[in-house]
Amino acid sequence: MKWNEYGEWLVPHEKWLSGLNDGTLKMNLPANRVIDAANGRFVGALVPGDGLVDELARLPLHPQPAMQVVEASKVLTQLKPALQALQLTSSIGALASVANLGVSCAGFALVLNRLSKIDGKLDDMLGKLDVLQQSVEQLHIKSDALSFARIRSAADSLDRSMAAEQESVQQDLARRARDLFQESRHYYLGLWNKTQPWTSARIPVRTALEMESRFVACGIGEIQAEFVLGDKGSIRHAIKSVASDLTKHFALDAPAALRARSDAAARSEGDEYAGFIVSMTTVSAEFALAAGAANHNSMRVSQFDQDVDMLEDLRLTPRQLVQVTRAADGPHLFLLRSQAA
Amino acid sequence: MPEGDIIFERLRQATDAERGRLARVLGIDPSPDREANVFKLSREYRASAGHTLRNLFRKEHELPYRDILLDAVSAAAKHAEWKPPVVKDTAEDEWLEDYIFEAYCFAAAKKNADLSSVEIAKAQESAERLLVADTRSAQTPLAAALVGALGAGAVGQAVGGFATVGVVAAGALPALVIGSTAALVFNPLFLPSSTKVLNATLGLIAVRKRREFEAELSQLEVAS
Repeated sequence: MKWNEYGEWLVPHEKWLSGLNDGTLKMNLPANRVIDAANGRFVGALVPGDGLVDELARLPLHPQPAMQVVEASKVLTQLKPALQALQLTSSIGALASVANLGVSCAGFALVLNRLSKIDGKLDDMLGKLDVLQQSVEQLHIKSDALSFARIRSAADSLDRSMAAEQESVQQDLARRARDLFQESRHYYLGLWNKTQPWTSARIPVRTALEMESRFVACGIGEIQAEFVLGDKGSIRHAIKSVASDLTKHFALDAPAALRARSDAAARSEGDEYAGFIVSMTTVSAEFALAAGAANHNSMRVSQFDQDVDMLEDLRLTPRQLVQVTRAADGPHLFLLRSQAA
Repeated sequence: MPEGDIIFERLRQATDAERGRLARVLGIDPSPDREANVFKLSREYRASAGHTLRNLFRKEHELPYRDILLDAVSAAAKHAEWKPPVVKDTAEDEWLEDYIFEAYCFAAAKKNADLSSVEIAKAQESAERLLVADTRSAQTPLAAALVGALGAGAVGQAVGGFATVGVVAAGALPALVIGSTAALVFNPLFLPSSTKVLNATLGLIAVRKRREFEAELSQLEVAS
C-alpha cells in the first residue's frame, strides 16, 4: 500500500491518489471528501486512516462507554460528524456494536484460549466439592458433559465451520457446534440452579464465576453457530434465550450474596464462620470483580441483538460478516462500510 | 454507659444469624424478641468481659466497649505473636477493632504459609499504624490482604488477563481451608478465660466489616 500523504485520520482512498497527484482531483477537507478539481463535484468520501483505526481500536466495546470516550476525545469528537457522513455506520454507538460482533465471531478462539487458562479449576472442583458432586449426580449429568474438553470440542467445530469452503460442510459443522454448546449451556444452567453458587458459602466465588463464565462461553458459542447457520430468527431466539437466562438466573446482587454467605457461615455449627470472617476481605473483593464481569457478560450478550440489525444496515449476510471480520487484521474493532454507501 | 453505645448499635445491626452466633458463643439461649435479645446479649457479653469483682458494682450495661476492646487488642496481639501495641487515648474504638481484625487475619494466614521475618514485621507494623491517626489514612491493611495473597497461588493463572471475556478471578484462600486454622482462636485451649469474649468481640467486628463491604459493593452496583 502506498503512503497516503493526504490525511492523518480520514484519508482519500488509494484509488484517488493518482488523480490527486496529477491535479485532476482535489481534497475538500472541511467537507471530508475528494472533489473534481475542474468542477468541484463530489468524487469520493474520505476513509479512516490507520491512525484513526488505531484510535478507535482503543474504544471500549460497549456503546455507552465508547460514546463517552468519543465525547471526551478531542480528535474523535471532531470526527464524529465525518464518520456519520461517511455512512460507515449511523452512529458511533453502532460502531461499537459492530465491533462487539466482530470480536464475537473472530475472537472466539481467543476467548477459548483465555478460558483455557482456568479450565482445569472448575473440572477439579466438580470432582472435589461435595455440593457440586451431589448436584451433578442428582441432575443425572455425566461429569464429562460439564468438562472443558466438551466446550473446546464445540469450539473446534465452530472454528472449522467458519473455515469450511463447502456450504454443506460449513453447515454440518456449525450444527454440531450449536448442539454441543446448547447442551452444555443447559447442563450448566441446571447445575447453577441446583447449587446457587453466588450465595452458597461452600462454593468459592471464583468457582461460581467460572461456572457463570462457562455458561456465557457456551451461550456465545451457540449464538455464533446460529450466526453461521444464517437463520435470523434462530439467531435472535438464541440471543434472547441466553440473555434471558443470564438476567433471570445468573444476575449477581453482590451485597446480598455476601450477606447470604455470612449468614450461612454464622448458622453453621463448625468453624465455617471463623473462616468466613478471615476471608471476608477477599470474598468481598472477589464479589466486586465478579459483579463487574457478570454485568459485562450480560450486557455483551444482550447487545448481540443490535448486531443482527446491523446486518441489514450493512447489507451483509451473516456469512459475509463472519468472513469480513475474520479477514480483518486488527485488534478488536472493525469499521464496516455499508454496501449501500 | 448508656444503652445506645457501639455494642447496642452492632447488636441491632446484626442479622438474626449473626445474633444467633453471638448467643451460641456467649452460651445463652437467644430470645425470640429482637430487642430483648439485644439487651440479653449486651448483658452477657459485658458480664463475661468485665472483672468479676468490679462487675458487682456496675450496672449490667455499664462496662464500656473500649475496656473490652483494650483487652481484646492485647489478646489478639498475643495470638498473632506480636508485641502488645501502644494504644493512645486518642485512638478511636473502630481503630482498635481494625487492629484486632488484622491480628486475627494474620494469625490465620501465618498458619498457612511460611512467612519471612520481614513479612511478619511488616504485618505487625501495618496493623500498628491502624491505631494512629496520622498513619492510618494512608494505610492498606496487610494481613487481610495476605489471606487473599496466599490463595493467589492456587488461582494465579486466573488472575487478570481475562477481562475481555468477562471472566475475572482474584486470589483467595477458601474459607473452608482457613476455617480450620482461624478456628484456633475458638479453641478453648487458647486464652481460656477470654476466648468467649474475644470470639464475641470478633463477631461484633464482623458485623461492622460485613456492613462496610456490603456498602462498598452497593456503590459498585450503582457505579456500573
